[in-house]
Amino acid sequence: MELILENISKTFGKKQAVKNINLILKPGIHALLGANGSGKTTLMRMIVGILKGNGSIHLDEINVLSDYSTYASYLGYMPQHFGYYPDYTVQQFLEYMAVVKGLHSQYSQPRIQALIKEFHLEEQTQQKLKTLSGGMLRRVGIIQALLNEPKLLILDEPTVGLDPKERMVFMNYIVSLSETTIVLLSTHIVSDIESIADDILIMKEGEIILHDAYDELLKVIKRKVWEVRLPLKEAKELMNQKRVVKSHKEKNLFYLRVVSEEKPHQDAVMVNPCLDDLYLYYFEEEVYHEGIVSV
Amino acid sequence: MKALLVCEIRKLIFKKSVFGFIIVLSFLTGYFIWNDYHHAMTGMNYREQDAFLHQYSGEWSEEKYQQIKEDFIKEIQTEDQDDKMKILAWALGITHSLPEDLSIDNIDTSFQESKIDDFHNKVIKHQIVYQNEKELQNNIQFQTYIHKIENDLQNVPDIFDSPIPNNLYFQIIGKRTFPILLLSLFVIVIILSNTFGIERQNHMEQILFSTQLSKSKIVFIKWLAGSLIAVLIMMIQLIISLVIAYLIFPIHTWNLLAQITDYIIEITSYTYFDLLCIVFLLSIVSALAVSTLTLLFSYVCKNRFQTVLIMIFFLVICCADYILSISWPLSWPWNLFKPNVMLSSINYITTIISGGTILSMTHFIFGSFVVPYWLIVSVFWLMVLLIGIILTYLHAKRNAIYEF
Repeated sequence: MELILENISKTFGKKQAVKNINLILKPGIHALLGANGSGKTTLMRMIVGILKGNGSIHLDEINVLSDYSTYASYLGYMPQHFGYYPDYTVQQFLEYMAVVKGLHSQYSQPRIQALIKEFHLEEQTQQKLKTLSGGMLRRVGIIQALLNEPKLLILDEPTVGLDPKERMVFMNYIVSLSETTIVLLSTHIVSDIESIADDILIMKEGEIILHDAYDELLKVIKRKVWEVRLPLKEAKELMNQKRVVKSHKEKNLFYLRVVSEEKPHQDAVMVNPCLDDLYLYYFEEEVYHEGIVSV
Repeated sequence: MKALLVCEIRKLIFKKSVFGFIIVLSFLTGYFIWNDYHHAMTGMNYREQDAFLHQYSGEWSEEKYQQIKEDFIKEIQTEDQDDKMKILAWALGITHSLPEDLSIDNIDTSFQESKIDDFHNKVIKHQIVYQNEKELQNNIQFQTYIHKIENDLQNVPDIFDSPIPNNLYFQIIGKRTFPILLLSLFVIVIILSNTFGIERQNHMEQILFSTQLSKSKIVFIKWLAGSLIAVLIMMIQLIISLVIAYLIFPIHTWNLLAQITDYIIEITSYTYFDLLCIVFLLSIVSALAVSTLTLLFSYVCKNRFQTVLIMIFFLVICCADYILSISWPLSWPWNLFKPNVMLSSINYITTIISGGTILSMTHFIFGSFVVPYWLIVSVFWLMVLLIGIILTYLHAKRNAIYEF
């Protein structure tokens, strides 16, 4: 199966949230990276078919607009802000979702049980959703997206609120689907995807500015990532001058990881780049505005 | 479809607060009915009268008529003429005031005057027509109505029994129409006010509308669930009223011509079963009327608070003339269709004739057609319900894709 996006764009008032995106996605894990407001969620909602825009979206020959019922039968969607009915139990909620997805109870019941077991929610099946922790709710949200064994799985920030173990379970499961399913997931947690994503799409200001495999993307910042340990005064000076993507205190010195075209300091050592470096290289302004990097 | 309907119903009512509302409402209904029975029966000898009449129960026959007549004559001959004589007179169809000089010597004349001898096999039915014919013989509408009644009377049962428990039940239901119906309608409003807002409130729209189940189908199922819940709540109240009636003053039979027991037979061709059906029907229509408006506002507002405010305002307007004695423009058609007063028009056996003309809203006469109130009101509100469903269904179909 192929997901084909042709000339996709969306405007909210005067702001163009998505700009003329053309894309073909095949089965595998496709990670969508971008700062807040870069258009990730808008693009995902358009792919899911709950937001009108310009252009056309097809899953093979199935058009999202003209044959939505068929399109939706192949679709699993986990939105960024996962909603739920607080008075439903986990079991009731998943049964309800199975019903609205048109799944027969003979199929859905064993499927629900299998997914509950997979995501370690056996003890919470009769608990009301309003009593669950954020991580548990997130797992329920992931299960509902997987109920119909989707061929197109759209996951908007799926790992937010999950602890490391839960994230690992989730990622392992997603990897197991990647042979047969087109998985498009957006995240801020780049470490989640660097080991599992077949390709990475980087969105900025409504456009996909980069789309390639992990190793290919890192070539963009090859020989541009440095590490250095400096006293506080010098560290502060360097932070004002260069893109520091990581920093922490080590005894009396400050460890800095810098993305720079040239050697940022005489003591700096070139290191292999990672996805965090790439992300921060492209979204430096947003990162600083959000205060992620600080000493 | 069925599974989805169950889920939608569960979504709306499986909450402690909703169960609490329904339990409190049911308790109040039970209390009101029980209290009214208690007050109505205090100091009255309804039970004795009922037991006395009930001994003649069974299919109406010449033998039964003769037996009642003999007992009536015996009762006249006793010095202590109590209620029994009046009850027997009523049973014999002597519905107008008994002559003061009534005695064994002139009783046959009394029977002659009431013309019951010719129709003793259907004495009560005849009397219904005869009594009113005298009062309204020049009224064209009335003649049309009488003609209908005469036709209908061919189908009413030839059963005799005490109607006292039946009448007491309908009097109490009529009296308690306002608080019980209004409370039920408020509870329906509160429960259904979030029907179409619950998805937005819980951020479920994105998940729900990205499934293969179309938005229009979800809307239709929600209408169905909301309407069923409204009907269910109203049915619970009616069933409670019936249970209490049977516990306090059991009804012998419903298959009996509706008539009142204070010795004036009014114009009617309904059995008590017919009346009970009308009570259930109008209560259900009343519940559906309010649920329809609530669901419509819920669909438009997608907000529980706003919907409740609008519907409370609507119900207050409905009650304003009752509470403040305000007369609105177009109050006649308005009063006709107000959901909170529908049951007040069930009193088919006591309000039909007033001042020599048909004032009651129980029937409407159009030329040679006599259309009962319950039919007009039911059709009207069912049309509103249907239009509501169609409009929202079409709107949902046109706006299948959301703008967030």
